[in-house]
Amino acid sequence: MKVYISSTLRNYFGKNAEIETTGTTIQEVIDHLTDEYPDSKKILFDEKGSLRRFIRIYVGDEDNTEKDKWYRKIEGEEILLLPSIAGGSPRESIISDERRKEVALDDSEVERFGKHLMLREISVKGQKRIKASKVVVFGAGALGSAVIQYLAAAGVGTMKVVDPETVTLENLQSQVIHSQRDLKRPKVASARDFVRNMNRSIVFEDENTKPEADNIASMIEDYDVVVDCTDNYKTRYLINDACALLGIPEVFGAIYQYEGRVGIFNLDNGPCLRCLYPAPPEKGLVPTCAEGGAISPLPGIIGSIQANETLKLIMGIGKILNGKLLSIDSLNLRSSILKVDKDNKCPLCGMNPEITTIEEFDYEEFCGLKEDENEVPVEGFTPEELAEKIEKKEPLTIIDVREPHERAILRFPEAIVIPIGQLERRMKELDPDIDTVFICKEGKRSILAINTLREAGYKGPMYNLKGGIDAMKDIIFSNEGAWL
Amino acid sequence: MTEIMENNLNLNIDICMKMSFQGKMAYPEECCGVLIGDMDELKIDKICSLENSSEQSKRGDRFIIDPGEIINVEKNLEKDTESIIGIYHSHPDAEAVLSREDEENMIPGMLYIVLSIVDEKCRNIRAYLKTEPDKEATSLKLNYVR
Repeated sequence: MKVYISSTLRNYFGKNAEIETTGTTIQEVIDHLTDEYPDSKKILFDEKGSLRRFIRIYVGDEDNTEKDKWYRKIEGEEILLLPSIAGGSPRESIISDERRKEVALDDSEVERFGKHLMLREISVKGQKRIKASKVVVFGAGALGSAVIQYLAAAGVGTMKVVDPETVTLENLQSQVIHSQRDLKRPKVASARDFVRNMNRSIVFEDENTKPEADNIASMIEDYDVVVDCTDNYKTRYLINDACALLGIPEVFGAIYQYEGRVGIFNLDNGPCLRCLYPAPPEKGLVPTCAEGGAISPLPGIIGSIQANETLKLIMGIGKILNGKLLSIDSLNLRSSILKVDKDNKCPLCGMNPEITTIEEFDYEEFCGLKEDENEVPVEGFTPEELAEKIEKKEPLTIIDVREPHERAILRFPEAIVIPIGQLERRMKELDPDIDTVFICKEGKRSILAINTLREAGYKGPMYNLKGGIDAMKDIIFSNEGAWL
Repeated sequence: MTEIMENNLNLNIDICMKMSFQGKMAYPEECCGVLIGDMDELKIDKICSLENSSEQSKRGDRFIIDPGEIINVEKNLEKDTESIIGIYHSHPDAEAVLSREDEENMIPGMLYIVLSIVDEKCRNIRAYLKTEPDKEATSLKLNYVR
């Protein structure tokens, strides 16, 4: 059988225009060709073995690309391997021309944004798009600080910030829009002051509320882009799902210790967070950012990239991280960009989506936040109860399951140190006749420790320190004064 | 192929003018066509304008070239000296950067020239090449020559 190879594909077939092969069906001919020209395999098929989008297989002048036609006997005709040449121009911007034309820049704005107006890609058109845009930022923490700061400086027209928390002293290590005098204030109030001080013409909206399944849609409806600066999986999936269902693009950012990641999801039917991470890591495996820590400038780097991507997305300029994930390792100064493929089986944005409303999805269970009903509940002491037992010198074994670098910050006196990974092996060190209390930073890993020992068959009484060492900080012992 | 390594592409100004003229004529729709020349020398000798057969062509953000058209072009080429070495198309009112659609449909080893046509004027021309199927496309530096 004669096979004609289009000149666009010939490089992978020894530059031959016509190849004589054995075989009587398309499948047989293709097998023959890929055996003869091994290079051709990677141009014809992707890693999963599917025919690439740009390949067309014709028999005579009839398109036979569909696989069900590959087993039909072909006689006396010519097979043609042709390219399907297609493409399209990028939608210029998520802000329509009509909305751009509705806004005008006044004299002070021309001066303020002069450095933007100088850039050919941005110029007046881009600056007007920024002014016309409406952005929601989830989280006014470390990443949020950088995002809010630069989006405000760049002149975003309307900004909504959602954060349920108040400013604490430990926040000031990285959350640069808050200052010492903001301690104990809601983060959104502090963010509002910051934005107003920078540019009073920005319409600032705040919601001092925790995003939940029943309120998230109302938080983002009618906005152009959502920036995810949160630090927990439940909210991340909630934001992703709401964005996908409402068709709003999302700029995702996350940090952990020295590493950060940025990506854009839900843009023009592109992949979503679930295509990349179908499920959150198992409970207890990965400490939260609050437990894991992060170097101070890292959220500034990652948040600034998020702000930069958001602005490029609004203006429709440059290359953006759509369907890509940028990873930065600030300790070793390495970075990489990972391609995120859209998953056709994705329960949210795939061909047959199972998740069609946010309300009906159980986020607590998905993220392992729900107490397992079959699990024996873990009993615990409040910091006050534990303090009382220590004061009264009741027989008690205290096990500290934190990592060495965490103990270096704050040591718990008289505690036996056993990291979670060694618990099973060192079970003999515990006395099953007296109470054992497990402690960690926030009281979550200690529950995991108790469950681990239970599964290993330990029978003695075990208790968890509720709220962990963090909650113990305010306890003052009568004999020692402030010892923690 | 050495010039590809250096990410340089020599583009004849006449060819450039022809492409941008087609881009302006097709505005606000996309124009498309093939580049004909010698890939080993990375030389574009001429271009051949083809019909945009996308049903969505009126939207101005899609193009499809019918495989039958490609065959017609190829059969009329000088056998030894000419071959299709790439594709060009215009982006009406958009940047001359590859869209996601473009990148996903890119044929490795083919040159891609994208023209940005804004308000019926050619604002920018850029060239791209994908060397391997699963690699990202790289941008080539254009040298305009006579």
